[in-house]
Amino acid sequence: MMIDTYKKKIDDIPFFSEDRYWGKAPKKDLEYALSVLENKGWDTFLAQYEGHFDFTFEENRADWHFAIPLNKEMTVLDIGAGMGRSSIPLARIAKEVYAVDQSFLRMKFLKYRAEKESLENIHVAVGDIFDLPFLDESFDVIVMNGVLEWVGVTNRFKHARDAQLESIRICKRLLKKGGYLYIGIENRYALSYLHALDHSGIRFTSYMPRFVADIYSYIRKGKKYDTYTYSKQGYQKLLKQAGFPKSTFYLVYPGYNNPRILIPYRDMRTFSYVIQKLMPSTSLRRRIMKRIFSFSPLLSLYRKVFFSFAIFVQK
Amino acid sequence: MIQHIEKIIRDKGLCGDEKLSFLKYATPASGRHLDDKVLFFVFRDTESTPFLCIKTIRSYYAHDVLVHNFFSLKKVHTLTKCGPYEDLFVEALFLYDDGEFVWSVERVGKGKRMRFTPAMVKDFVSTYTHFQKSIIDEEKPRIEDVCEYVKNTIETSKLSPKSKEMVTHFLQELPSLPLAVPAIMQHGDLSQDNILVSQKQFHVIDCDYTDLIYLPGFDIFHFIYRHHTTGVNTLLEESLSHYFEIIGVNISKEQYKQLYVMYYLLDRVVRKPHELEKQTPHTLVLELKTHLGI
Repeated sequence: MMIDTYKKKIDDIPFFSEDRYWGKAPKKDLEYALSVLENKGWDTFLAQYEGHFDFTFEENRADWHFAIPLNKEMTVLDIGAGMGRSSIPLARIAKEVYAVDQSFLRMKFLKYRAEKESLENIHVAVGDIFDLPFLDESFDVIVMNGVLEWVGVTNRFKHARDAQLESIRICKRLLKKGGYLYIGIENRYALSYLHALDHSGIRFTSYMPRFVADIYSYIRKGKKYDTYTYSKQGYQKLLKQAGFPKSTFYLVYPGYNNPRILIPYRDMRTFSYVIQKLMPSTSLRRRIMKRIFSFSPLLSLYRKVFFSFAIFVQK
Repeated sequence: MIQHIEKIIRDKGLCGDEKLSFLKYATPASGRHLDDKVLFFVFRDTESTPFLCIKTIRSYYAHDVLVHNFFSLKKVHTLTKCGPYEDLFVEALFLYDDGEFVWSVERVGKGKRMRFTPAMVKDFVSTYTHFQKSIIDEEKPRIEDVCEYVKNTIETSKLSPKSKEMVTHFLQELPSLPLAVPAIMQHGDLSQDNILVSQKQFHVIDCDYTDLIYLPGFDIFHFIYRHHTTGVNTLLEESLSHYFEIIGVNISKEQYKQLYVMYYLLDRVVRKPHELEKQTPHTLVLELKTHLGI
């Protein structure tokens, strides 16, 4: 399954690419936090760092898996596994979970976390999606949760889209026949980008034509725009080009990182039911929203600007 | 998993050949524990409301929660079948358990969650009181001493030996409550969040703790206690005295106060044992004083 071509091993974690830290907190914070964990144990660690990093002890972050068949016979690859939000719950159901991330510290944390949960079926490695150390047709399920939008941040390809295309092709190669690729990602035209930063760290870039976003990014950040997200049609086109002609889309509420509600994209009735019956109507804003979206053309429009997608393709 | 569920419910004849849509739903709190539930609402191709609700859990390790939920609902439905309260609880249809996956199928509760007005609270309490009267099992032995009943529940609960000892010791310090009441099955988690309202009809959902408590008045107490901060004692007194009158039990004012303590403790023992585990005898007394004013 995993090819033994690693460059080095630290703390029993193989490196298949250079260590590249990422995360909302500075690297030295996580380094120090891990030393607290090693020396003082989980209770002290959690008392000091709960909410500081993007780990969670909640078991609901991989709930998208209910949309596909996953069982004790299956092997999963979690690309960009981070601190294990998907890997931990998946390891409770699957036979083996291979978790790969560019950050050594994150993999080290996940290793500790797996040990704490007595999950011996999680295998961690430091690796880049373009250097994955696995044989073809190794996996039943591959996870790209919050990863595809970052794949273009590489020097290997001139255009971000080419890098994204290649990453999906790699996944296809690694999937067994009949296996599933899951992609959790934002909608390029999400309404929420009106008041939030795009992945580029700049506002409104996802809404812009790519060449305009490029120029704007050069002016603001001194670098090209390479964190592409797409509309539903854009993702379909990308996946088709990568060899997946058929894809299934779900709208995810509140977002793909916490897939509490999975709404089949094709089905407006379920979307309407969620808005009218399942979403809280405690605030005035919500109540107005419910009234507005009781008109189906507006609901259809809202679907196009919904925050994020869970996308499934089958080999 | 959806594909597997769809195949089984078609094989079991729970739906026809029509196209189905599955909407996955979990509450914001679902996921903190391995036994938290995940729901799927199943829609027929032509309908705007779901006709089935599938319940499952994230790990088979906690399958007993789902099995208990299913059989409790079955039991309530048997007790209310063909009577005026048949629709108060949804009907449990089917349980699937293959040792790796477990899920149950229920009909969908009609209506939606609402913020109860004072009139709705009174209306619901009255309905629930008469429902409770209708399910008194004359065959089942009466509870002859409430304190003893609570002690026995603690003994068979999932509390740690240390906490069991603490709560039992606490109970021994209280005056005895030799009150004989009929044993009546309680929902165990009755709150406005677990009641759907449709055209002035009430539908109670979420039966995780049903069939675990048989002390009458427990549900009414918690239904009122959880959602009222002002005037709670008056409302409790009115509602419970009416309730006990209907089920044929005479209770003095002093006994009510003792009952409140028992209801409060039972809730902690059965529904929130993890909170009791953190308590010391001192904090337990403080909590009761703060919350119940006793």
